[in-house]
Amino acid sequence: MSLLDVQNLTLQFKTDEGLVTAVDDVSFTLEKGEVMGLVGESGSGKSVTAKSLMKLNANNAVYGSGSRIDLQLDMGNSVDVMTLNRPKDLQLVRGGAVSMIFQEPMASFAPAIPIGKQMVEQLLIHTDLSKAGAKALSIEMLDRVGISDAATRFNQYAFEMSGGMRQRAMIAMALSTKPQLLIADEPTTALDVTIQAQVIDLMKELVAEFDMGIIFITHDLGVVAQTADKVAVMYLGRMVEQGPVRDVIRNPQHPYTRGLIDALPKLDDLDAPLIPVPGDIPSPLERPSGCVFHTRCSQSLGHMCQTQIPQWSHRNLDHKCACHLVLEGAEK
Amino acid sequence: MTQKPLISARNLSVSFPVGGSVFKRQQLKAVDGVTLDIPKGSFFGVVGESGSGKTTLGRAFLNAVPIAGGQATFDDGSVQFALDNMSASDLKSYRRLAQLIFQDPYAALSPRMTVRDIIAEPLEVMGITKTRAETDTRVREIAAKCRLSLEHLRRFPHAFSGGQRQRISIARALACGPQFVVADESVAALDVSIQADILNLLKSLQQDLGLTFMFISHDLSVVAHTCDHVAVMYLGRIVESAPTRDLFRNPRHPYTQALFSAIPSLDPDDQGSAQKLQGEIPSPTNQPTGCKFHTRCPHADDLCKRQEPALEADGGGHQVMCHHWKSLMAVA
Repeated sequence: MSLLDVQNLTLQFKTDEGLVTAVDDVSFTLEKGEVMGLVGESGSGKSVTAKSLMKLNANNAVYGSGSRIDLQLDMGNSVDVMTLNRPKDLQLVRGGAVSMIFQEPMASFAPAIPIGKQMVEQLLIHTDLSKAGAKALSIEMLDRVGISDAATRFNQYAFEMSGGMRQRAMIAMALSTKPQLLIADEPTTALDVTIQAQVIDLMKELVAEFDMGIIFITHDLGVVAQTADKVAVMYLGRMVEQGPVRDVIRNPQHPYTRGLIDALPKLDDLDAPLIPVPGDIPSPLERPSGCVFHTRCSQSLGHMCQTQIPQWSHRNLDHKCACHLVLEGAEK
Repeated sequence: MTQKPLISARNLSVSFPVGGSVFKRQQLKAVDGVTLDIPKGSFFGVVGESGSGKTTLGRAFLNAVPIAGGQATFDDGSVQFALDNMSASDLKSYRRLAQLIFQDPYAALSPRMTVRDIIAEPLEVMGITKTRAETDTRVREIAAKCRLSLEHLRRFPHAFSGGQRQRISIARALACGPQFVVADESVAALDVSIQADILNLLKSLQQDLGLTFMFISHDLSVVAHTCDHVAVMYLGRIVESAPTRDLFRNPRHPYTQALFSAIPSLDPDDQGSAQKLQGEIPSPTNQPTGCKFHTRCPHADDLCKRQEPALEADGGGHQVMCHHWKSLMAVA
């Protein structure tokens, strides 16, 4: 059984303007020790999807009735996160089986409490450790992620650390409860390339060591290529392409995935023009009918793309794509 | 480089006072002895990690921070300004010629002003246009160049996406008809799909209007695709400066080489063969002696610790500040 099995996840937000669809019929699975890159522009629903795994979305979120999120807990029994409602039950998942690393490490630590105290606090909630044991484990984890002089750093505040060090501390904190699943929401976006490279290396090492599943949210395909085993591309709340990282990056099927790759500046050919994906992502209030991407797609087939939601077509066992063009091509 | 420089700096330094009491106050040297020429009509890139002083250098050229030492001049053939010694009236006329595009298009635009008012404000403040009709004509003209429609001009910034907002801030910066524009991380906050669009727009505006751009970025691949000439900064110094092609084919400084190797490759099987940089940029209040980079440099020896290298130039406009670049190039 998979570590995580998400089936038909649909999520809408109740707003003054009506129901806004943020995630639309998303399904995927994740195994232990596997890293999945979740890619898409801002507004594509990647963060909302990830937050749903812990039911962390705001109170106005309405989950679709067919949505299931089966998560395996550490003793081998699994739970459907969708059925959990009481904070006490959700604690099993939030910070227990699932941890999350956020984009902006300065904003995710409390500024007026020492880093160490925050690490101990969550350990006391989620584990049976004593205060002293929690402190020892926290210092060990800080040391493990490459923070020198961990015992001193333990008593420092977030503002006393540099950006890269804060993100390391965040990783140490997220991993100290030994989660089954780690959600990393743009963990390197706010960092310099040199520090980003260090953090990526660290995360790769830790996956191997802790054998957990990671969902890596990013808009940088280079980072995905270097970290992930498989990739899921999202656009406006729908998943448009899924597959092993080599397949998706070398043989992108969906025009949107291809657009993202073409828009990336490449170092081996400085003369290659940068090709932007035309237009902007539409507001979720004005979701296009049919294929959600048809308003920006240069290869739109017209009526069919405007009216029908494309089904999945498989390029091979694991690599699939939801696009009429690919479906048509396969039939011919 | 036969073009006359528009901006030229000789041994330029900028420092800020830091520390609690008046007696313990230290000087933080953000920019330290920078000498460089930005040719007229060029797209000049400045790269470096956070804390390298690239933003401060850009601001010094706009006279937005006090210059502590050295000279900087602006000379477009008809008017000259000495940026290190400027009267209030000089500054007023210089503001029309030099403008800034900010990093975060979400923070740079007032939410209470319509797009038309945002773009018109510099025209009115600087008294460039006399009547409302004149202002409107100018606003429409510049808006059209930045691909903003008349409908857009009536709206407020909240109604726009990141890419559109960045186009508004570009329009505002260009409204007063500047010669020199500093673009400070102007695409860092955008998605890759939109980033390509903004880069192409900046490039075409530069060619159409004959502007000189100073493009500040931490992303080497973006710089490679837009700039003619690149300067790499580290701890307030320019450590390498060269025409883009030359720099990318042949990086001489170990820091530049490390920056290249840190860029995540789009090929999942390319694990980044070259050495990755350890540690972080030292604090500018407590700078290393000798070569500033020796604490992180894999090739550092005793000479690097004792003596700071000079910026060596070759005939082709490639400058590098390293004791050992010749021997390192010979090995490679």
